[in-house]
Amino acid sequence: MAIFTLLITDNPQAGLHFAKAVLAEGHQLASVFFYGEAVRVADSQVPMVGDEPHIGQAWRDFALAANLDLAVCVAAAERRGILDSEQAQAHDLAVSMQAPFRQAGLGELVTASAQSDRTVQW
Amino acid sequence: MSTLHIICSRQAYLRAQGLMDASDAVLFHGDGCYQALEVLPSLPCYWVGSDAKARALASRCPQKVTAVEWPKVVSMTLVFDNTVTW
Repeated sequence: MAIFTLLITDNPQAGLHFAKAVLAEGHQLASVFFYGEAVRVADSQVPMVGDEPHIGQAWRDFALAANLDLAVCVAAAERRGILDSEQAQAHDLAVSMQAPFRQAGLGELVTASAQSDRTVQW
Repeated sequence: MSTLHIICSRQAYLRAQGLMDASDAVLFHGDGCYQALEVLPSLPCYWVGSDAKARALASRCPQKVTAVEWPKVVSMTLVFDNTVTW
């Protein structure tokens, strides 16, 4: 069994396929860290549109089923107006990030990566 | 040290070119599968079969390219010393 950290920056769909395969193959996910534009996946204010795939909901469903939480770069998210309850209160804006997504710093990514056998970016 | 180069676009492939060693391999996924129909490096090449199929490319798989699915991608990341996503 190997331990993986996933850094999701550009391809959340590919990252989700990979994450599912990691668990299906009996490996472990130490951390899934969203950074850059990929933090938009955590925006709970994005509605479902028709029958189009909703990547944010797909990640939510996966994380809840696998009992994972999903780390989101706090600076990248705040810059895009994706706020948890604490930040939303501080800025007097609506909450737009909810569990299983949670804010995290880059130090957490570094720590998880150091404790993993592989860090793979998508 | 062997590296698995992960390519998701033509631009990504152009960035990776010149930085591939003889012990490396290339994985095309997403829109990067289109690039696999063009010039390929003289390295082992793979594409994600379901991504190629979603783009109606599966029947055009070049002889040099091996189709794989996500479980195999996971094992490939463990076989190579390193992965670089371009």
